Amino acid sequence: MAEKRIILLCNNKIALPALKELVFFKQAATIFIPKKNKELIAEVNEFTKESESDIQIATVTKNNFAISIKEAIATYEPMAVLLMTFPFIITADILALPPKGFINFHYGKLPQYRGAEPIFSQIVLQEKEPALTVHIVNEGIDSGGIILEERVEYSEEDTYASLQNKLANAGAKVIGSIMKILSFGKFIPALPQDESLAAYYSKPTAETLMIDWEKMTSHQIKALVNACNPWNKGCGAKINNTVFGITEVQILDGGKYPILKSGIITCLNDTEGLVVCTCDEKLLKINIIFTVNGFQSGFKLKNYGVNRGDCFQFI
Amino acid sequence: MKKIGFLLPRSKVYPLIGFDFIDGYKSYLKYFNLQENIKIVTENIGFGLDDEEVYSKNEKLLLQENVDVVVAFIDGSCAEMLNPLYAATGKILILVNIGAHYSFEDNPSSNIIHHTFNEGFNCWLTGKLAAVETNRIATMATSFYDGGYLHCFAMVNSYNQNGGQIVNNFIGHFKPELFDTTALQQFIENNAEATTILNLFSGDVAHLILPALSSIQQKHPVNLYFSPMLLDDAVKQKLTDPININNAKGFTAWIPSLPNEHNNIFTKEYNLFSSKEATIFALLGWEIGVLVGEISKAKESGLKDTDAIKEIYDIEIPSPRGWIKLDQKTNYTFSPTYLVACNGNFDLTIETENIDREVEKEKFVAAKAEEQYSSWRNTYLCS
Repeated sequence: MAEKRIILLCNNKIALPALKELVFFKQAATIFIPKKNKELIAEVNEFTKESESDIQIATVTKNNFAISIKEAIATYEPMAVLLMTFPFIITADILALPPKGFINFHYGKLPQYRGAEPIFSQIVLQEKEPALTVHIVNEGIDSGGIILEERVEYSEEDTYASLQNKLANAGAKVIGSIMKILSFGKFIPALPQDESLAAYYSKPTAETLMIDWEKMTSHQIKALVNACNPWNKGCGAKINNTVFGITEVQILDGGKYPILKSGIITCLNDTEGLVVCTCDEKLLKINIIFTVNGFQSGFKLKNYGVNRGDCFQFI
Repeated sequence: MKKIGFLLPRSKVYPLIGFDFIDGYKSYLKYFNLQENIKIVTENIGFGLDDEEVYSKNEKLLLQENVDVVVAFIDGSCAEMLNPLYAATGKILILVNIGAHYSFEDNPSSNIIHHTFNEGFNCWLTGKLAAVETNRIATMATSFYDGGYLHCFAMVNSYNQNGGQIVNNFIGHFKPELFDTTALQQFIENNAEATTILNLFSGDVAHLILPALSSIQQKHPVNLYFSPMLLDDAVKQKLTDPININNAKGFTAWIPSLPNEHNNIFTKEYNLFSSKEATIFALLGWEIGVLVGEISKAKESGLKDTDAIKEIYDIEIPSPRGWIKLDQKTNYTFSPTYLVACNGNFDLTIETENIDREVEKEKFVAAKAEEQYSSWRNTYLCS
């Protein structure tokens, strides 16, 4: 393949494994990163320095990115532009510039998980086949034709970070095939999305990050906890009018604790930890909490005036 | 009329590879009187090494020639690159090769079938047999070319998993004029406990290792195990002097004398059609007729291509090997495997044993080369 065939737009370290492949094979001309993402800019700078790559790193804002990208397309004449979690909307006139268009790496199964946080949505909804979907970008949101889907292994223990890592590696795995398809094909093979299966999920809000003890089953709570770890330090739970973060839980097989009303603490001590009843009549052991004093073992909730028999508040 | 596109390889090692393969398919059509119903379109893809050529020829067959099915003699690793093309067009690709390389995906493409000679699986079985039958101390002997594919990993991995230990590796030169077995002979001479040699050879050098092994066995009672391509009839035809091999063994999917009705028909009809003796490549071509026939039958009820593939999962489809079966988990075809003994001047006989094929197949598929590894990129035997 000829060198420097694409421009990459990204805003998350999930793009790094694929970016490393592109740099190694000298396929990327320049990479655009939003200016406020200093952490990613630093990581990419460090990586390109280590690998002695001459790839250009352009930092952009919402106001100037369109002009910058147009200029870069005119300068480098890439066959395509790849998006990996880029936050700004690309207008139709820009989409039409590269000969093979814009291609998005969407880190969720499509069309079932459209939206800005597909990793979060897939964990919360306990998707058994989480996937990276590579698709053509059109004027809609995550609605262009699907080129390929790379499923990753599902585990109920997956946190946001672990699923992100799996999907990042999936990106690195498929980037070679995508580059070959873009380079060698006369057209981009893509299947239209089945709109009857489409669902769009907005970014999570403070309310959706709280445990609803009245309605959520033990597995739903566990999924929400994992989906918030580590970026939100866990999901929220309110007791005695104070909000704590819950970072790690496990569903107990049963045992000696009485099953009471949902949200009630059925055990709270140093040796057996913090155990709470859920609405599906299961017991949830809260291993790690996040408090004003940082991450702590679950049973240390007692240091905040919480006692056995207290009940987490319903939303 | 159905239109079938063939992507055919080149090979200096087996110059007739593409001819035998397509003749195998044509002889099937002739025997079943299907010639008038099928139009064949062929393209050359060299050694299967150039991704751009492979991709653009596939695209050409699908978009310009508008074929119904593409049959490509290329490496299994091409599936990842070609998958979107076939998913978008909804057509079937049958990837054909010897099975020396294999890449079992967790979620194989529903449009791509891998049809192979099961070389890797047979090497796996041979590695196990060697560990079970011997003192488990062995030399792995292969050539610079043959050693660069996963069948070598399969043989050694299976041997190791069953308690065997490779204490010596002999890598012969890939050029016949530079092929020298002195190092192998010296090692056996000086290491009495290493009484087993696992042999994995093909093509230009396969017939050169045999005299050396024959000579070693005259002096030392070593146990010999052969890869499928070393049990190929073509090897015997290249021998210039008589050899005297004692009870070398190996698993393979097919030999010309395999006693079953379908093989009798195939070997006879292929010979009538082409005036050549049947080969492994001709067998694979004949079996394309068998596979496409089964898929076409399934499509008669109005199913689309990918659903027709699902209809033939895990069904024993009669073939000259006995049968072939499309494995639902991997989308690879598997067939019976036969333990073959090689004696004297390359006389092959089928032996009996009791290794559980299904159990071993599961282990073989699960034993992926997870670590990073290097390998040849051209299709095995296409160099």
